[in-house]
Amino acid sequence: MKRPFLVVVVLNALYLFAGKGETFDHHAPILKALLRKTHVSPPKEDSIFYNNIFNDFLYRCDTRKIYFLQSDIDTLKKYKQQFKDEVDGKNHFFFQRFAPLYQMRVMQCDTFVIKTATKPFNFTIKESYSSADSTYCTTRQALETRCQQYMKAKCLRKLLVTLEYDSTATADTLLKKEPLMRAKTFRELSRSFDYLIYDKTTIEFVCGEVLCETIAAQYDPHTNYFTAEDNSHFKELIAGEEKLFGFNIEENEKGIITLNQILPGSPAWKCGELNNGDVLIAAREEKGEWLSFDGENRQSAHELLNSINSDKIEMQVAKADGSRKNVILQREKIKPDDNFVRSWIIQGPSKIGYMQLPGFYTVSENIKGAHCADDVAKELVKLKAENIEGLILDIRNNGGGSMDEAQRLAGIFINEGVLDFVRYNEGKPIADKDPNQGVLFDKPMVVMINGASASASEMLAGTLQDYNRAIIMGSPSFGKATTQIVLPLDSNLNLRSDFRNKVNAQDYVKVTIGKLYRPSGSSNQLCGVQPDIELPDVIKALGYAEAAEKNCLPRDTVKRAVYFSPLTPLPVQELKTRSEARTKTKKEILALDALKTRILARKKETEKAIPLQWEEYILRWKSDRNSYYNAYKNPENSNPLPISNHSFDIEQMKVDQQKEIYNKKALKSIAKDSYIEESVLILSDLIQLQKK
Amino acid sequence: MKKHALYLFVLSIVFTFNIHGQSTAKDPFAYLEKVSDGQAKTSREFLGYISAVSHGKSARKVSQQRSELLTAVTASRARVSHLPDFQGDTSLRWAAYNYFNITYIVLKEDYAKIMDLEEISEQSYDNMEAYITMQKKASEKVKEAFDNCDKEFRAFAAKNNITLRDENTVESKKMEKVGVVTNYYNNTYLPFFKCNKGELYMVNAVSKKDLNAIEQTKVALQGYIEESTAKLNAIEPFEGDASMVNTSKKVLEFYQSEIKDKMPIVTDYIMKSEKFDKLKAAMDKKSASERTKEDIDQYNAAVNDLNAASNNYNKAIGEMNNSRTKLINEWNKVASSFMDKHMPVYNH
Repeated sequence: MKRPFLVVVVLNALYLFAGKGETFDHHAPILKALLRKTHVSPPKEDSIFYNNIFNDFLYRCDTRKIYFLQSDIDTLKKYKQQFKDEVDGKNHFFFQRFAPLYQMRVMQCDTFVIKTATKPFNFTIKESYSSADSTYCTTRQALETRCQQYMKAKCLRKLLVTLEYDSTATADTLLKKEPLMRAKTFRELSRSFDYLIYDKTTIEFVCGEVLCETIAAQYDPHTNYFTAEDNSHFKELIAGEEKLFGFNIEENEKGIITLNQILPGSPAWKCGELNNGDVLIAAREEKGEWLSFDGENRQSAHELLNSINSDKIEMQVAKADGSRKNVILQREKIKPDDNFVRSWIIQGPSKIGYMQLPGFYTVSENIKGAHCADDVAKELVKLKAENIEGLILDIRNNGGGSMDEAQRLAGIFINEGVLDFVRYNEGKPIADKDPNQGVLFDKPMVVMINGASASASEMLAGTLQDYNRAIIMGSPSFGKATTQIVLPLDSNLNLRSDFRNKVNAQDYVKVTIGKLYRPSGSSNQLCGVQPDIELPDVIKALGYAEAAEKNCLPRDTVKRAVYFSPLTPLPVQELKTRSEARTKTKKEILALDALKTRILARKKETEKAIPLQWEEYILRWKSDRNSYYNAYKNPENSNPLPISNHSFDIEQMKVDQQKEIYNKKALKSIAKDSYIEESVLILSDLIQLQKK
Repeated sequence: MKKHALYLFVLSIVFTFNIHGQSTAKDPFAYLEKVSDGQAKTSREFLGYISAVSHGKSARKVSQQRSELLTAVTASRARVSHLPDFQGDTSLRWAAYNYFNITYIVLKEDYAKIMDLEEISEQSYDNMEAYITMQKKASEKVKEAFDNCDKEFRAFAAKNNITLRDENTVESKKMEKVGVVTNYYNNTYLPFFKCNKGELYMVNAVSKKDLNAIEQTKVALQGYIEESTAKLNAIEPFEGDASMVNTSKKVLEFYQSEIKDKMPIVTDYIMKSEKFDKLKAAMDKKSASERTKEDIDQYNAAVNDLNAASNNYNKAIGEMNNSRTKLINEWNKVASSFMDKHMPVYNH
């Protein structure tokens, strides 16, 4: 009964909108002016720039091509030549035409979905759905079929999520759940349509928001526009008064819900298994029903998450390398004095310190004293008290954070000198130097990186590599060598003034203001840090890399003399030879290599189409799952690493049971990590060679 | 003290010879005299200036001397720039001009004109190190300009049959002494200065209780002490006076004792504070009924530990401050007295 009523309301709104609509308010002119002033390398605002905005805007409004017909696009293209004026707010002909059309097409899709939801899906028909289809449908019938297939693919995916959690499920028992999953899929889609067809103000707001997002994306992949609402989620998160899990979620450009803003010291941080960018697959309250986040948009995902009204949450996330993690979090109040970096002792051939650093955090409004470089320093003092002979710094999956902290951290290991260069808007590269002369730790070290080590963590690895201070092992890093700042949306803003006090601004923009260079003058942009000793990793194969991003900035170098004094070169070749001899027969490493090959081969196939026939779909899923399982399963028969806590933590855990729980899980996970195992052996070799 | 000492080093290179010979029709002798006259005047002003600086003259007097020195250099530079070429040869004129010009730039500390400050800044840890590097480079530039001028001067004389004879005037003897004293002073000052700065960074880190900076600056200072002690050990007493070396070594020994005896107390206090904070946080999470006897015992032990560490910390900081003030005062007194004793007096 509810839905027809909604349609009546919407039609009424449409009528009002069509009759009025002389203006169309959006923030694009302010955004553009601000970006032109602050972006490190603003694109030329020529006809190509505006054509790209136009095309990208249409794409973003209908990424799955389930709303518009080719004829709609042809009509809209007539406005392409004058799109500059639309962006600059000088005229609104396009948006006056577009907004009602958009509403109408979403409503049409809604009716297709309503119709589809009334009948069971037939999973025996041999058909497929491609989310990457680049063409629009030419007929209404074709559009309806695509909507049905899209819904069917979503429903199949939901059944699959159940299969992932319920190992006892069979094809038959799953198929019995089809009506339930179909209803869920319908509810999700309806919810995502509702806010688009609700009224004129909402559609105007959505169009303005998408336009601003589209403009920001033209500058580079890390320049993002976000509304005051987005910002308020983070402010709530760090308010500090409430018990919390300590993470936020966002919808990435592919429409996937990912974790972001993992708060240092929060349960999400301390569990040691979550990173910004992890895909949130499903969540549930303790022993409750799994809620899938597949196909949710930002708003609906927030609603879904808020519906979990429990102090304990279980989540399943997909890491950048495709592996899955199940994590249970218990809400907690964050204490200002918590140390967010953790370290352990590994007694291999030598006594080694192992330290994990998931991000480069710095002090935030309500978490006083949280500086990651200081916390690392404290951990190092504790490790030095245990007489370690070397250190492994694990920054795999570390997506970056505060550059200042990364510099201070590099300074811990480097005596003095240039740590990096930053070039701002058309200026000269400026050297950042070690703020503290001297080294806190001067013994051999290995830094572990992977394809999800990005930005500040790449900078740290690159700096230590240039100075010959550490052996870098793992896989090439993400390839982002730029720095960003969040600014309130104000075209009069001056970067030299204290813009942080402009709290009245409604919307915000994250701008890429600088390019980063290594002490040697080279850049990690696009190519990432190349490890001295490389181990296979599937992250890049999965398409997670700066170079795979649209509008990524090109790589360049510092074009002037640079001055820094590297240490004596490390015996990289010898260490590499020894490592290769060990890893060439190691099962876990070979399995990862096999998975990488498989992903690369499968990638093209996946881009083509997803099978919608049950047997084929399950077969494909099982085969994929087995590849991942083989690559990431913990080998039962291998010898776990002899890992233990340092005395400082042992004492603390006597009174802090929660820390002990997290610690037990971490010990188990580290002890069986074949990458860590290999890094221990590399470091032991290095210690041995340097003793000689 | 430092600034003036380096000036000395820069300008204590002067012509120490007189010219003898006959004027020719085209008068190469007069030409040469015009170049050397400017130099002599500059030398006199410089000696007056350095004498005022080194023998405790008032700030007003020092400033006046400096102004006169700058005027003399400017005048000499102007005079040689207006010299005509000599039979089509401009080599000596340009060499002399270049020498006076660089001297002027160095005196005005307008270093950007003669060196790449960005390069120096990147290669230096802090502003003071950059300043010392600039001074060193400035000295090299002046020396280079002087050597070139001297070469042209001699070449000109030889070409025109003018005999140059080294002659020890009062000024040249005093200038020579200035150079020797300055050189000695610099050699003892720089090792001391490096450690002094290093300790300042360490003390700042301690006052902020910044463990990261404390640990790093401590290691840096240790390196400076070792390097500087070796340098000071290699320096002989100056005319039987070992006061500069001895007072500098005394300060270095104090810094060493800070690292060895006091800094472990500082680190211990910071780590015990952290340990206590964490224990307290864990205890606060528990209700009174959840706290076991072991929990309470451990907490009480941590309180006692922290109190003891805090007392030791306060005592150590007090002792460090007292000793430092005493030793630095002593060093300043010795340095003034050394300059007063050995730097020549000159009134013109």
